[in-house]
Amino acid sequence: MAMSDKELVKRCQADSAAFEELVRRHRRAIFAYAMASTGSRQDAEEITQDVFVKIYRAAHRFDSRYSFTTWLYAIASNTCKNKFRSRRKRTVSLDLEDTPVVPVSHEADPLEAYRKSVEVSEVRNAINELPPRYRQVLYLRYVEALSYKEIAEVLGLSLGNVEARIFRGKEKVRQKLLKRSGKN
Amino acid sequence: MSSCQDIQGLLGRYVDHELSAADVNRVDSHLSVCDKCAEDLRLMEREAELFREALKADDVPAHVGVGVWDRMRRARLRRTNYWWYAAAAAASVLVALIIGVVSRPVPPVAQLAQVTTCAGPLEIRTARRDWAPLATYAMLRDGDRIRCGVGRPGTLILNETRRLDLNYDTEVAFFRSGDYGRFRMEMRHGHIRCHFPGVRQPVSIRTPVANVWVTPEEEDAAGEADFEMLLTGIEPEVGLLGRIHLLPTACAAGNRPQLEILVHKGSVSVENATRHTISLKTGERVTVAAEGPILAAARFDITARRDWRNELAPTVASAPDPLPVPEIPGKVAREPVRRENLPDTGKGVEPGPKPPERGPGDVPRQSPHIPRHKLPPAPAGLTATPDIHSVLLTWDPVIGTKRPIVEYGIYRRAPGDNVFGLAGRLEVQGKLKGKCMFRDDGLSIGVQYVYAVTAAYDHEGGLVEGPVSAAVTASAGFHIYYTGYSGDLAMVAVEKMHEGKIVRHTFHVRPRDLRKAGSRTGDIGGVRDVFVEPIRGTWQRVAVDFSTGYHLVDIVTQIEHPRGIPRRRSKIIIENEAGLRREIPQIEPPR
Repeated sequence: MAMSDKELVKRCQADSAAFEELVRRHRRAIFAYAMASTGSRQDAEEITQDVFVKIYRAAHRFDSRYSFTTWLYAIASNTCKNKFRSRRKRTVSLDLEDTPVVPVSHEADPLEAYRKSVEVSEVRNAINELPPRYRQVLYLRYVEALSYKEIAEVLGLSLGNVEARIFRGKEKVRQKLLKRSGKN
Repeated sequence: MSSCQDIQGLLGRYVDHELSAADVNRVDSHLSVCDKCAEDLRLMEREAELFREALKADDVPAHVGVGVWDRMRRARLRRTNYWWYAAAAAASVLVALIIGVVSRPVPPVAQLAQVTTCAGPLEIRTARRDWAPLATYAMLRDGDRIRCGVGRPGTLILNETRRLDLNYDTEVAFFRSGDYGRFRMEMRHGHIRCHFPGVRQPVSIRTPVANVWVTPEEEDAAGEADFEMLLTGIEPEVGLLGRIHLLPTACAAGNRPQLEILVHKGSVSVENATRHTISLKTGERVTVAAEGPILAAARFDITARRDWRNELAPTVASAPDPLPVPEIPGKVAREPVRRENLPDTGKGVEPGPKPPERGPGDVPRQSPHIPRHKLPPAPAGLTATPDIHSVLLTWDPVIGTKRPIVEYGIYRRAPGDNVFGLAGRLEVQGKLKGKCMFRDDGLSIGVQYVYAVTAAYDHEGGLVEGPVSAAVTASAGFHIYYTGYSGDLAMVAVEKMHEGKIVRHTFHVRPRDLRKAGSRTGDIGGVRDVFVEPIRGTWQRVAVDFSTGYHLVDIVTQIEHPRGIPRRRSKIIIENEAGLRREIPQIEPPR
């Protein structure tokens, strides 16, 4: 029987297999959260690695009375904050990836799949233009399906603040999409 | 009964499952009688689904997990300084690499193309700087592992000939001692540019299958002519086969034929062929390009409604071009040869072609009454790569002839010229290994040249030259480098060929000066396409290829304030003669 996350955390400092399992289970989610927070793939990769290194080091401090997911995302959230703080002025390279890549589809109607991917791509672009504080809450809500209360714990915010950020974040995305469709 | 206004205020939290049971009941009872609110709910649920899809990162790089251990090892090494730890770590990582490679399934693919890097350098640039001082690079091809070389982070240049057979769905990746990194690979002479942002990414290639345009003879009263493209022979059993694009290489902005056909299962078959009509004005040109495994299955027939000349590629067979053509930079469009402008293609009566212009010291190529079938065949696989003030031509050597080929003739035509002139000759001594290569040097930047080659053998003291190859076009370019800003200054460097060496001039400029003709950077104008990639820390490379008249308009810097911390982001704006602008944004730098 598969071990729970809490059991894995308890064991991970003594048992590398337990830690690997923990990384395997959550690396996608943390990477996606970091992507949503920073908008940079390279930063997201580094943040993901940092988060798991921190988890490894702080595993003995984890209090199993609390939710592992909340703890995990709290660490991820703090790591993202530190990343923003440590950012220094520097020259930056230019992005070539302006052409949306449409994955090969095996669905019954590839044209419909293509349309959907374009739609998703537009929403993604609009979300990427949001400030990180909105992207974070939207990610935690819609991808990780955390409740408002859990999000508040992760980010150290009040419940009302979380609700307001989700509402405003969605509004901003809608406005951006409307603006774009108006231009076209 | 609740009003719509009350319910609308609750719908957001209803979708997010954040309402109390009493409120949920209120909403449910209202939705059962109000179609408008029910429709709003449906839209909000659809919106939530889109958010979920948009925020999902479905391609997390595998090296993220490996990197965790790598970081912890490095941290330990810093503390203990035990060198044998490094050896053990490297060994374990190498084992992991080998296991990963061996266990990797080989995708069932059809042969598409072969890419040769020729004798030019294969440059591999790495975008990350936090690696170990020495790194082993390996190239994957169909599950094979080819060791490419060992180098330091930064730029690795392999000055050796390498051949890489690429198929669609072939996964080509570079590895660094078992860890994956970001790579941006450019095979400068192989006509392919790949970017590997993650672990492995299939190489996507667009290959031109035909090149069509309208000449004044075919135009109608409105100055337009149509052509139809017929796709046949596509097997319906395969899933999504690929896409067909029109690449408008020389069209006015107002008349850019837009066409993107998704070819997928069941939509196109031998019985159910699709036909598309595209209008072009005189002088306008499009390249029909296919992308995906469609190349292995499809047949492209280009037909015209009005009288089109035979030279205008009425039929293109299903065989794909041997070399893929990149989108940027150095797009080389394969085009049919216009016979009146080229040496005679050998109809069987006259012995060889008659190059209209000869350079001094040319060997006269005359030998009467050679039947057509005895002429040397036309060289195949001709490609032209733009380079700094030059164009590099490569083609397959002609083999299997009764008489050995002793010379290739390289012909060039500049815009405005009616005839091709001899650009040079490549003498062959002994048996050629690999591709034939010729560098046409000292060219004018921004001029689009057309090239074709011929093969010749010795006959009774003279040379017999065979028919010409398919022609290709290319133009010479040079490289611009640019860094970020310092105050209101931009740093720009231009590389030029000077006495056989590449010389780099670096200067700070004001962005507005870039627009001024006659300024020190005035010759930056005429950019066809720009690509930029990080090299050695802060430098950015902008490869420039002059064909369709883009010029650099501005470099714009914006200051963002994420979480109150200012962050600088810049973008390059280029514009062509038709006023079409393209913005090139910056991303995060390598560290």
